[in-house]
Amino acid sequence: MKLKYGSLILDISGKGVKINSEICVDVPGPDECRYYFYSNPAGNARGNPGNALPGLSIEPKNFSFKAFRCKPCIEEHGTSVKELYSYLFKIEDITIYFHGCSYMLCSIDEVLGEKIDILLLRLRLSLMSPEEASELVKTLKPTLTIPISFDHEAGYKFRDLAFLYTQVVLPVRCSAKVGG
Amino acid sequence: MSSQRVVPPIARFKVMTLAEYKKVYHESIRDPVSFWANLSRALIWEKPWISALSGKPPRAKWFDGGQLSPYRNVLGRHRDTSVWGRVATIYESEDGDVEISTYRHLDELAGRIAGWLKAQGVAKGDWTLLYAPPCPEAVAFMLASLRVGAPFEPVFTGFGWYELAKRVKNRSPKVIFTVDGYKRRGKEISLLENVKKAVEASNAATKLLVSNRLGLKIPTLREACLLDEALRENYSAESRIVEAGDPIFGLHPGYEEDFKPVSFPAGGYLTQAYATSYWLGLKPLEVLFNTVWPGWITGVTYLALGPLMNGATIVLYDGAPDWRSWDRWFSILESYAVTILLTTSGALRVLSKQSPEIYRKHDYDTLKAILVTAEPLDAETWSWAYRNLGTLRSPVIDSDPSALSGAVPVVNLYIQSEIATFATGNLPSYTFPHIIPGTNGPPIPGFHLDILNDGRLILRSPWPAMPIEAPQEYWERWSEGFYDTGDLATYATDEYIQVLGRRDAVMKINGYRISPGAIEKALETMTGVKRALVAGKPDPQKFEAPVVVIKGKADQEHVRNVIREYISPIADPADIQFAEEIKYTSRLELKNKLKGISKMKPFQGGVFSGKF
Repeated sequence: MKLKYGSLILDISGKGVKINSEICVDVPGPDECRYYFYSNPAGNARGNPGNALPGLSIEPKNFSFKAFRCKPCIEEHGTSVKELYSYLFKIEDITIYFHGCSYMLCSIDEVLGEKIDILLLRLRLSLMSPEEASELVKTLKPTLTIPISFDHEAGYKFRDLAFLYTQVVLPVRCSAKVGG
Repeated sequence: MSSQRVVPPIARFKVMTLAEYKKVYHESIRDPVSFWANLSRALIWEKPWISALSGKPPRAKWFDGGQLSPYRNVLGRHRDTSVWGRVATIYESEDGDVEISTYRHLDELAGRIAGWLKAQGVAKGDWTLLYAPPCPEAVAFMLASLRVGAPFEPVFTGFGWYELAKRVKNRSPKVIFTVDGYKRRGKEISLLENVKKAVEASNAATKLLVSNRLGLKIPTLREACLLDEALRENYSAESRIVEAGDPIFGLHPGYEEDFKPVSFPAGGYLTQAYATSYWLGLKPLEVLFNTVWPGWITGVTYLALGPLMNGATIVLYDGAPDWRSWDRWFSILESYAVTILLTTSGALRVLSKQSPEIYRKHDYDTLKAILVTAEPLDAETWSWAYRNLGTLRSPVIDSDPSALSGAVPVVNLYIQSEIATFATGNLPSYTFPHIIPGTNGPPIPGFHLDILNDGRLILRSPWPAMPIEAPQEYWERWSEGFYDTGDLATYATDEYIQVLGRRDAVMKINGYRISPGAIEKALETMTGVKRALVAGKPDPQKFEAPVVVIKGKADQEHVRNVIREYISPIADPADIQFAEEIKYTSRLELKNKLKGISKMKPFQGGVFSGKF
């Protein structure tokens, strides 16, 4: 799905999103964008393109970003927790928050002060639940929310819980629902 | 349905009893001038009006002495409110690409187009015209026209160059806005050739503003400017103030002889558009998908101006409803959390011919109401829509998916171009008594409707949006001291109004009001055609379909092509007859013959049934 928001063009697939053909978030790459960001850098099958990992200093000209390490409120001792990241991008006058965590962040103070235009998130009944995602929406109040990957049951439930607080766009045609 | 009366789920609506409705309605029509005067206070007036209504209808003036900025009342009112950052338009192309504009984005775009208009010399009172499908820049162009105080005329892109030329000639617009084309069932439909022919035929001194959306090659056009180039200049324009009685936009509704210009006053129209849109439930965070395109009154009032005034989100789709399959609209409802669907009876009848399973595989449980307009909706199609489209997937109150119980109300509303907004029907956010399938519901407060013994649907008192410019036919419809709509109606159960169709020879084809005289004029340009007579015959799908009787000789296919090219594919005739002499003395006689009525019913006149 190609989505234009103001001057930005987002290319959304089930895996990730390309912003203005310059910034790839969770897109396997490696040749499509100038900058790559991964919510799960360690687990990225293609390895580390190495130009935009959290903690690595890059100085892009056309945008700014912040990376947040996902930290659950309750640590589960004895289990290995994936090191996941979320990102806040500012491109021109548009703010995009990519929620890479598989749960709601315990503390999202740094994001709270931002007027978020677009919230991108992943949604799975087994990971970030529709209830958690709708809580995130109610907290951040983004203009637009796009679940970039979801199973349908979770997607519909999230839409029905969140649509009074944000404009939800469900990229249903990503799953080839329209025949022909 | 087992019952004639259907009560919508009370948990989702502020449903009222019939007695409560009647109280509200009677209070409104006891003094409609005060009723509308109170509602006008929801507008932002730069200078308050002195008199709510002065003079006698149809030449009466609403809100005389008042001054207002139409742009500020439609868009500017949301500046510095939470609405400003919310989504105003969601555009989906036939290919599935999406464009989102917030109110702020729309303001920026409209402001820059307005600046360009001003730089081209468009001033207060000059007309503009747009020939474009529903897309963000078409909405922005309408708003830009409001901003510079220029009334606009939207022309339905289903009309051919001949009809476009007529409107260009009548309006003499300083600027015509168009898009290079749009996709229809995968094919590119270019609008440029029609524009070029229309401008040449009308010999108008007009400038063109072209959105190169499809990237089609722009033919050499006099005084043409690409939208991207116009925007590059970063022009700007202040929002202009107009008199309440100045025209805000115009249309060419179909009359017997031709399509003729009608214009609406800014103050009265905006009062009515704002109030009725609010009553329909169009508010911030409500998402409306209106399938009626600009160029028709429903497309102007409820696709653009009314919803935007109320801070709602509008979905724009310029593709075919059956691309790539008939569930396309339902995929749109599902994707964008649409809460209100507005469509036509004809569209529902087409949808009902497909297997309901293709719609029911979609989850659009955010939907609250299905509003239907344009021509009468029969009880059978109503019932099909209520059960198959109106049953929610999640079994909540009053909704049982396994039994197709229905839950989303299907509301049939009556509108007419000259009235400018809906005038009958249940209002989800105001007066919502039970629904009676097959009817157009009760009159909307403020509209003093009545049905005479001869079946004429009339309006007894003036309404704020009443035209300030109209053809002779309109003024004559006031000759008996009330407005004769030209529609036939009857009182149904509980005195609800059931509109039956046109009393005159004007045709309603798939919801489109088509002039038989315009078709005749087009055909009479053909060599070999000495005279043509056109009338509508009843059609189970389209409501009416044109029948053409020609005195003279012509190739059948050529006749069809002329109608398609000059007028519209909508007016494709059901039958073409050739005769040495046309035996019918009038269109109405032909219409009655086609309906199987041997003689016209004589006018009974003057005796009123006095309902409501």
